[in-house]
Amino acid sequence: MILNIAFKEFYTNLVSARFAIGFLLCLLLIPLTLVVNINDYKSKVTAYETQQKEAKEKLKIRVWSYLQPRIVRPPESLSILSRGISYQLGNYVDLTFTAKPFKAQGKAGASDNPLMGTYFSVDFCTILAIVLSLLALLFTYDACSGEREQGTLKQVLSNSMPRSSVLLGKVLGACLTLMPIILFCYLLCALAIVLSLHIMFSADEWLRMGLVLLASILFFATFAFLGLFVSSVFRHSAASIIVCLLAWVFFLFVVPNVSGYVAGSLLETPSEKALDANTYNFTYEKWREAKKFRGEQPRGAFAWEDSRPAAGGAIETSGATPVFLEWYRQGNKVVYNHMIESAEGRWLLEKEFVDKQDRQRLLAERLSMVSPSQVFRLLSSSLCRTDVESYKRFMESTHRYREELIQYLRNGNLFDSYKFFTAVDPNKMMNEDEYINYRTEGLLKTMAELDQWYKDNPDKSWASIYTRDEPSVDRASLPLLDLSDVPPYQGVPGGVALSLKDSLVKLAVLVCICVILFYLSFIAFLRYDVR
Amino acid sequence: MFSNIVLREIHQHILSFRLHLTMILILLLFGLGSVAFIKGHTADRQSYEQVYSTNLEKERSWAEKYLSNYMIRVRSLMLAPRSDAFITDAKEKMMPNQFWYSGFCVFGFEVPNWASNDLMESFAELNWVYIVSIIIGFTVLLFSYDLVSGDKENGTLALTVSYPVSRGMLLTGKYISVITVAMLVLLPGIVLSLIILLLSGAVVFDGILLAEIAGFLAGTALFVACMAALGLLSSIITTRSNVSLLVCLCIWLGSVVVVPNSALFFTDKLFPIKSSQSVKERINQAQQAVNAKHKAIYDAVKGSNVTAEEHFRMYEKQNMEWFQAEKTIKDSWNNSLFYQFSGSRRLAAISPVSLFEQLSEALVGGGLVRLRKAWSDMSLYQSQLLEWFKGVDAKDPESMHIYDPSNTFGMTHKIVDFAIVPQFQERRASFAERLDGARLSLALLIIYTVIAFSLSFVLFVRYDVR
Repeated sequence: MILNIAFKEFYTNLVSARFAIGFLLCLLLIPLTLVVNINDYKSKVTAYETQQKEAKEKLKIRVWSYLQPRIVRPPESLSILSRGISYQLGNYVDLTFTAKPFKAQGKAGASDNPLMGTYFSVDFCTILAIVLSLLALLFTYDACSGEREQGTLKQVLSNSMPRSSVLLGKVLGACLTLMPIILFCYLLCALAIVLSLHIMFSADEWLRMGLVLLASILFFATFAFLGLFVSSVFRHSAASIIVCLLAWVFFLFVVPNVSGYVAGSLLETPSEKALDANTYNFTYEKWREAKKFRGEQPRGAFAWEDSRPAAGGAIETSGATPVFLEWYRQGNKVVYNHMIESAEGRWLLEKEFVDKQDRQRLLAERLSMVSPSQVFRLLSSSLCRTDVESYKRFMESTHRYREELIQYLRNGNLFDSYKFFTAVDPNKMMNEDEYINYRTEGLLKTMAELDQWYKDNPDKSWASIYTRDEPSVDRASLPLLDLSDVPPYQGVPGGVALSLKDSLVKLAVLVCICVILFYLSFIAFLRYDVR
Repeated sequence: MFSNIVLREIHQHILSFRLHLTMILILLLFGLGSVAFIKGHTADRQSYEQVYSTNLEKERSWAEKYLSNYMIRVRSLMLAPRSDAFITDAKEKMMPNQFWYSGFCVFGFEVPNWASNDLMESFAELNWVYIVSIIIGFTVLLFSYDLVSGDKENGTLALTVSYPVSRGMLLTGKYISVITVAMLVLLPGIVLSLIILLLSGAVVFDGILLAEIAGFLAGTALFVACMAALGLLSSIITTRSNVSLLVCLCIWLGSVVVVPNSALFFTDKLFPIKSSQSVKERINQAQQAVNAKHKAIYDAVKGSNVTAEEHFRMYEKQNMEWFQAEKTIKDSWNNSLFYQFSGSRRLAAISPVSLFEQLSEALVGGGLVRLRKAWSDMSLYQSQLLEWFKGVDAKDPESMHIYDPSNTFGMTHKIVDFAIVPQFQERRASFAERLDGARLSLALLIIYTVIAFSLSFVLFVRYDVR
């Protein structure tokens, strides 16, 4: 009997204008978002490939201090379903010995034009949330009040059917009507994925997409119950549609923005500028301390060939006096130990900052969970791994990897080796006098003579005495380090189970809202005055 | 007679349930938005002042070392948070509002990455324009979708038309009443918001701000008129009110969700720009060419008796060309950025909601209008600063008057009181500039309204009331 009512609802809905328009709306919007998001994903993949190439380049090193691997986070192919936060955060991290990774860099997939940051792009799940909830409300707003107005409700209830069965029949009917639309949307999406040359889904990803489909059915049911509830509270369908639509605008368009805005003013986060200043001062202080460990530079210790500094103050020299090389090597071990330790201190400052940001984000998310559509969007971004939790997991993995690298260098006593900062043989380097002799083409023989020359010719530029270029070593001819022993980056743990764990709370909230609304509509319908 | 129709319609609306519900929602949002604005604005102001004063201190220490040191240092300048952002923030937090410049060159602008919490999904602020464009826009459609089709279903339309009133007058009466009611719904919210703002003292109410509020109200009336005309049209072209409602919802979804969100995609296709990567490479190449050219010059004089001054002059030339190489490429790129952004706005102009946002943004002199003005003012300021510096430098007999943008060897090493160094002052856009920015959106909104209304007028005159 319940099925009878469900089928009747299904048929009346199927021939109605709202079904046709809803279908048309999906037919227009879904392909548009799919095209937009697949295009965005493509540019993300391109960015990823460029980063990977640069990461490979970065590993062609001749000295250990340049071991600053770039870890690139591969783009999540499910981001075409739900963008989540992935387009706002960076996608790679450059590891250094002197600081722990704080924030991922690079804006993968963001427009090259900084002015265009004012536009948002919507994803499949957002469009689905907007259209599904609207359709759910449109299919149910007059379930009771509309039938009462037509007078058919009286007749239906005068049968020997319990009211609860009638209600269940109506819910089932609405779900049946919407099933073709939901399935159609997902089929379109699946088709786009299969046909697109740029996306390959693994079994795991198909599975997670299936979970998103289940979540959207649950989400749809929630709004269907909301519509039923409103419809069985109001006597006129004109009133119930207004309430439904205002609730819809409130949940879909007001709550997400209000929650962010309110969370922003309730929990303030310190400005990153202040953090930058603090960390800068901290690091500067630590460098000054570190410099002390090097001691006085002995006379005759200097480098000429490109002591090109890299991030974290690492240098590579290929031309320096043996005195310089020895002095520098002795300093390194202490200095690097000190810097690695102080990285912890700097990280404390940064961690506090990130934690505050994260608390603000959590508050905004919790506030926005008033709205079932936000819960659905959060849920789908967890399932698609485009949420903050996945980002944090990535950052943690880079932290772990950095520790592994440091351990590796320590085990091999590499911090205090010559190989740490130079690829040349220190015994084959010129000393100071040889250097001056070489540059002046034999005009001056020693350091003392050069000093004397400067005294005699105070207004002359050095260019007039150094007639020959610096003795250069062809860097390309120096051997690259063999990195095959270095532990590889393990990647971020994955698996459906982990995504499920992340999304469990949101799922529970959605189920709760759904059950409460069902209960409310049940009660309201049982007490409904059919006259 | 006309006023009778209007009054009757307004009376009906005022008694309706939807009006009360919307009014409550609007009051709630305006209240919440204003309170949140005051908190947020005070915090923004504080952090801005902190940044400003640290920057100023840094600049003072450079200038107090010696003036030319101040000139060659690259520094950043940030635009202050607008106190009239409660009308519209014009998404300025997501737009570039920081400039990089030195006394010799303006380098570029950027979005300060520290302005917002990047772990949080970006959201629209709950300001007046947002409430009007989303909630009021929606409400107007809700008020107008059944103006004709609803009356027809009730059977009242046939009766009304049988009065000795022209159909045109009847339609105009209905139309005006919807606009009036929408403005009536809005007013308590605005008053509430103003009271909260006044009591808090976070915003100084001066003549300009009052004029901006008046301009906002006029813009809102136009926007409401446009949405009402669209609602009216949909209620005439459909025969049943629930179909009319669906059409209205589609219009609304199109203008709020589809158009603004797909503008980014279509802009990239229709107004392509060079990638920032390729621009970087081009700058690199140009600069390397400059270096190679000057390397040859240095090599030519090697070994000869070159004075230090001649050396400095050579450096100056090289550095100047180096800067110029970057500046030429960067400037044309920046222009293309503005071009692309304006293009995207023209695309979004299909939607009345986007038009209204653009209109109010120009009226308060924020967003793009502000950025463009500040950007051109910045270049002006930099050239004035350089002129001023050259004047000071000319008076110094010890200076060699070599204006090298990255070395201070050839310039004055005198110490100048920092107070007399010209500082950049952001000037607010003048009335004419704001109007100029608003021109297109204003014209389009009026055109949409007129087209929608005259179409419904014609259709209503031929309407079958049975």
